Amino acid sequence: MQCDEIEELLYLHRAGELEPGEHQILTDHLKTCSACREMLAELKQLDTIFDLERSVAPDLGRDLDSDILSAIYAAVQESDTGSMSKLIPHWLTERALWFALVVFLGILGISFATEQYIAIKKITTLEEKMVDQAVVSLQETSLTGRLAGLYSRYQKRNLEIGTGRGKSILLSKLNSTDVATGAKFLRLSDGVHLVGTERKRGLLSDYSGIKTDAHPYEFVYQFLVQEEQK
Amino acid sequence: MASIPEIDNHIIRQCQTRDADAFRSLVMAYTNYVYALAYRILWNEQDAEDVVQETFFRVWKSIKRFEVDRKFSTWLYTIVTNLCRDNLRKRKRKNENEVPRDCQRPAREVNDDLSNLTLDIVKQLAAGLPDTQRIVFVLRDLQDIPIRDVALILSTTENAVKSNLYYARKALREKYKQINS
Repeated sequence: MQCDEIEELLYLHRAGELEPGEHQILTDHLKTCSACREMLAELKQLDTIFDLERSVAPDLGRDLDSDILSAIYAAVQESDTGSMSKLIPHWLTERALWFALVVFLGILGISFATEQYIAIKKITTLEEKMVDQAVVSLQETSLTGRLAGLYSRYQKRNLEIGTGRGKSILLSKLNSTDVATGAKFLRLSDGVHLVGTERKRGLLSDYSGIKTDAHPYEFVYQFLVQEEQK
Repeated sequence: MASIPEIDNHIIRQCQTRDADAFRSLVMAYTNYVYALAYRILWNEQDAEDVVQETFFRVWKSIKRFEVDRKFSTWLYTIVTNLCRDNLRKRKRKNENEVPRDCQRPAREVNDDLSNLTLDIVKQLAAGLPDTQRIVFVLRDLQDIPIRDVALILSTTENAVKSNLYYARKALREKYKQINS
């Protein structure tokens, strides 16, 4: 048997998929062929690497895990309200309430201190989680369906608005950077922008100065509805 | 990582009746397995996380149609691989790099230099494979799934899996030789 045919047997051998008869052929060939023995040695090295990789599988880790789980539960809850409500753990609800309070007081304090509108507010991990959940949870609602319909029409007018599932879909489209603040934003139309950052979303605003605390999808949706009615 | 476990059928039946606690158990049991598979196909944490969310969302939406005499893990991995395929297609459309250069290592049970080196090598090797070969290689050689089940997951024949596996391993060996030299 030629070396190129033996090569195939070598792969099968390493994968443990060799037939008994083929095993003898391979053994006989290896006795006399140094090139194939070298190939076998390389395959063994590769197998060692794959074994190691297999033994230390990627792991979400505790924090990330709970983050993702929360997003999943929020999504399925939204798609099937009622029976899924108990999926959201009580501790999360409690933390969310505490967090909302802290954020509210924080915003109040900043407003008094600076006496000016803060367009971008860096947010904590928990806030980010809440935004993520909210984004995911809205995705199967009729709102998103309507948004998707509007999206296709507005896409033709070169307005960049993301729809669809996945927490990063909309916000990954933030494609412009404000020189003054360094904040990333999405240009919706002249004078109207969706403001945030890639991973740390801030408050939304009409970048031309009109304040809003609406959720990203709500904000975009309201904007689109207004535009649609014009 | 141990082979993927099979969850009790009664939990699946409870999920089919929209039992939230049962679904919670199911998600907890499989999240890391789903993430590991998605990460190894996509080699990108953010994309893998998105796949995890979308996978369980789809499970919840369609578990009523799942026949309990089938292997749940096979059905689950079918959803994961289909979502990963979609992701790879989108990347190609956007002409994005197959493997982001700044891709960070995910949290691991063991996190040392040798483990990092291994990950880098495997990532480099797998990144060059065509989509189907990459998925077959990850399922069989990294996730340790039997060829018969790989065929079921990909809705193909065992011979097709073996053939893809052969070409994948051949390409991996050649790439490994290049890296070594």
